[in-house]
Amino acid sequence: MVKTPKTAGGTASGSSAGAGARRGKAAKAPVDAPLAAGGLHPLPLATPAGLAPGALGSGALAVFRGRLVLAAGGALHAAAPDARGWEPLFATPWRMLTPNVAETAEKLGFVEDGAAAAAMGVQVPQDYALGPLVAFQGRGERKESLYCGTSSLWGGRLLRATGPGRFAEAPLAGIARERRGEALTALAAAGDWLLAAPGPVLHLTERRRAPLFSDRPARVFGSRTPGVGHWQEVALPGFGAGVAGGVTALAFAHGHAYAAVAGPDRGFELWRAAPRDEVPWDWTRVIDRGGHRYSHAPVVTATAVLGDHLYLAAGISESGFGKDHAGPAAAELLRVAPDGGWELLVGRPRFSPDGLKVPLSGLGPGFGDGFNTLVQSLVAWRGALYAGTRNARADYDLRKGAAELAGGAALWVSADGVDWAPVVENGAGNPAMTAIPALAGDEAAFYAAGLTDLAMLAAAAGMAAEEAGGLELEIWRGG
Amino acid sequence: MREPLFIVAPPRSYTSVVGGMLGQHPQAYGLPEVNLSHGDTLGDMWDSVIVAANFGTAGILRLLAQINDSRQDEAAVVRARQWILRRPHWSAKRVFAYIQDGVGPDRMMVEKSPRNTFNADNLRRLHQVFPGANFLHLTRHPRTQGKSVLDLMKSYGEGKPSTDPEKNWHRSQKNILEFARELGPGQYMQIKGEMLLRDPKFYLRQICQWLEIDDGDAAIEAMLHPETSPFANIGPPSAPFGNDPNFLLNPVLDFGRLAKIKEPPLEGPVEWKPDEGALSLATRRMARQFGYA
Repeated sequence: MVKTPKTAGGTASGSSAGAGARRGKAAKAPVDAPLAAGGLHPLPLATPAGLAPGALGSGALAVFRGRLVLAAGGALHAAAPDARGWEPLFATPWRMLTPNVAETAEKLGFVEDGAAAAAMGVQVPQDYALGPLVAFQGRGERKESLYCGTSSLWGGRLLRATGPGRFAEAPLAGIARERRGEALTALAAAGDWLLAAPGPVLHLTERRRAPLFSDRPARVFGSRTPGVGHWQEVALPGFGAGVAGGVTALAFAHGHAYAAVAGPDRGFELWRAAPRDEVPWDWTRVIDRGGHRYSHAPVVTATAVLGDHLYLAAGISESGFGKDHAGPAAAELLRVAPDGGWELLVGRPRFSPDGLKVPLSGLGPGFGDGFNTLVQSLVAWRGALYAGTRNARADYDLRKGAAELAGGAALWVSADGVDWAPVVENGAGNPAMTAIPALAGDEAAFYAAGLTDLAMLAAAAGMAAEEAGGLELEIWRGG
Repeated sequence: MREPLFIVAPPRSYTSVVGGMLGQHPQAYGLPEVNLSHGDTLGDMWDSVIVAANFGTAGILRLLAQINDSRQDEAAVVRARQWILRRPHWSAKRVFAYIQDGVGPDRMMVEKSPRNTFNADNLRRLHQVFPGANFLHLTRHPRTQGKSVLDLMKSYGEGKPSTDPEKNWHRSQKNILEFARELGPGQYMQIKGEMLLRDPKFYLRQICQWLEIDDGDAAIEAMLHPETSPFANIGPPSAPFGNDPNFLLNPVLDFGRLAKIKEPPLEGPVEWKPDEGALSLATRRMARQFGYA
């Protein structure tokens, strides 16, 4: 008889505890990781200018040539690890709203009346979000460059820095504007290929970002020489299977390129292919229907590679609610093995065509906290995996008129993907630190970006949100 | 004592077939619909379901006849009825304990009364009696479930229902989901009935793994024969049914037919709605959560 860990967390809200609880599995088992609770300290780095209230694309981090690079609020900045200030690397230009994008601008909430704004010559940032950041060395190049995807009303762009200096737009020859979409938000190095894919654009709903799902065929582009801009489609549109939706994550693990496609009704899909000279590659579906969590797992929000496994985080939205108010649902973590099989690490137990899936960690959705709606960042550092959450508790408290805010983002760590422990909980004492949207590390240090919603603090204090400003990023360092 | 399994679902959601199968597991005992969640005492339950005549009381009568007399003939049913009428003060917990004793303390009771889901208090009552019980939430597509409800009512001459079957589907599912939030680790799992029935061997094994009961081939094979249950027939004239009549008329599973179960789309007009109305947004949202597209 096969005995399987008895698991839980299977409620609609995702707020129950997790697997193995009946067997007494400790939810917070000791974890042998290089960074433990209390191991992070805030850097004296003020938020660089440009984080407007409600700024989209609220943070991507990379360590490139010894410097910390931050993409946030339409700008890129760099800082030496111990520096007390940021050096600007790129600022998106402002551009007059044109009639061809006026409707999209309205839909995304940038202007109330797109046609009127275009007629009045209203100016908007050319790129409304920046990230992710990926280091890649193209064929024939002597050193790595740092690439950054952008989201723009006029079509997503690719920015490139070849050295410690400024970013410039990289050519995207081979990717027609209509195939590029508005958001070039998925980017990954896959062997000697740089992969890029259009993702769902983000729009604001009551200060929270939500994906605006696309019904266009999913597309993945690849280039071995992105510096000069020779791009090809490495997948058939929709993987040749009619798969529609934006690609929210690209990754490379155990010799395979991975692409995660958003699906608001059915759940995300994960596809993979082995890179080769001839395009398009042979893609196969690895995970279907949100890992059979369906509409409660429409989006893959982060990926990382540790050992032989690809780790991925799936969720619904920052608020915990999705299309047509589906939800609430909290974040899950899964991992894919080299043979294409997958396991549930954190999440809701379920029956599936891939077998009984129980969270191996013993933790239910959101690491056992139903307010951890997303895992927004994942990174492998010094042999351990770190996961930064988005926490909706303070937002919920605010809406309910609570006298005091509670909750706050969390950072969890695991050496093996199974046993997890918190490094940071409850926003490190600041419930308005609602997210840890970005993580990065190199040989020297580990970095985490904490996002504080100042408008939330203002509202809790009875002030008008406009008085408080928008978002504030705090960079934490460990190691 | 092995904790019981409650299959929770609105009526016409494959509970009879699935309950019949799980009840034939060698470590289980499949109960007919006993409706014991309908009140705090046996008397409360009896008074509340008696208006539904045989559909409400036949299950408990047949079960008690089987336990007390090892048969379900008219005389045994008369004695079962007397047994109930003499014990209106017995709590549901005491009745369940009596049943557990009768079927054997090592057998997992499998219960599937759809009335359990008519309100969340019924489900809570079960949980109070069995804090460690397992709950399997079985779902069926709202479109085919609604049509099945209407077809059954038509075949028994009950005419059109007073409420839209879609509303009953949604209310029961909502009750279950709300209740599930109160459950402890590992107590609740959801599965689409269509998925299970298209490949019963595959999913029954997963259910056994979840319940930590034997998932070997012999146990799975036993579950593929719900017709071997003592309750898999129409029953005596004074206590007919106690389960889905269609299932009881033909409890031998047709796996070829089951493998072809289809799931219609959620979108589009619904045949029983006036003016080709569609399923509500709330119903579609909930159905998508269960895996319907």
